[in-house]
Amino acid sequence: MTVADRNGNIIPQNELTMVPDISVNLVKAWSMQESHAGTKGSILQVNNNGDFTPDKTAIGITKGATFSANMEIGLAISYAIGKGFTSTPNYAADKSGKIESRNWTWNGWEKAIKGYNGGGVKKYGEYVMQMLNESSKPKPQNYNK
Amino acid sequence: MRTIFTTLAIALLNFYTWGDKQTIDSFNKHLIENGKKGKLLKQPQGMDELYQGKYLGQITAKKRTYHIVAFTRIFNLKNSPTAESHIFLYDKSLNYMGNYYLTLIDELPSYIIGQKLYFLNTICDRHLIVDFKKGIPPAINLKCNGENAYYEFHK
Repeated sequence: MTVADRNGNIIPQNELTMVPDISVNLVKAWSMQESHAGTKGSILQVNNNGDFTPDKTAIGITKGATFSANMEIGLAISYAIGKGFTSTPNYAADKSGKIESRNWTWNGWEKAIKGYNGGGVKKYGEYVMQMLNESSKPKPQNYNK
Repeated sequence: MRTIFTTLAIALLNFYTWGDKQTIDSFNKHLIENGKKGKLLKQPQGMDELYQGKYLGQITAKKRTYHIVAFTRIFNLKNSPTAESHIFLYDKSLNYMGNYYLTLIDELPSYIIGQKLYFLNTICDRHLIVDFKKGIPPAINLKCNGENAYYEFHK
């Protein structure tokens, strides 16, 4: 998996081991927030017009491209992981201000999902987490009409 | 055949990027030229996108002057409004110098005093100040509630 931070820097593979698996229910809640689970457009709205940033291009999302729901979920997760990381720069000793390397910190899925939206919807992260926390296992009667 | 296709794809990609960059540049320059300091201006871009920006003023440090604009592009307005926020820097002649690409709209700076940029993020435990007296910082840390958030300057 390739993941980039918001500057387009590729996050090293060994750092990605800090990221726990995303829960299926979180993906469901997230897709409800983005597209009512795919009923209002592509499932996680990962590649909309107007959105074209180094962290997207670095992971292979090109503007205008369309993806299957399966591919889109994978790409959206990669993109969100980049939002959940903080990179702390290490500067060159010569005081030139050049960044020589970076230390990476994973801040959790809640931060990642919130960063995915960027604040376009106020309380976006809270809405997703609320749906996740209030989700329940379906019962047979939920499928009766 | 593959090479031709790749070249065409890259050209198309650059066209899109350049098109976007030009529109954003014009919007920001309009803010600076009209001296609408501290005023939030919103401008729809078609039916599904909006630019909003605030010219914060200028900072002079190390004999150079920078105009600073807090900018957000909100897209996908119909389905799931998504924000992309930047701090844009322009030189005295309004040439683009670079930007800090932020994660959240709340992280944008509020105002300038002297050579300092003030960030009043209400969800954080304290306000932040970034000092430009040594020039443009290669990275800024918008630490919030004890958590670092470094943003690198992107030319």
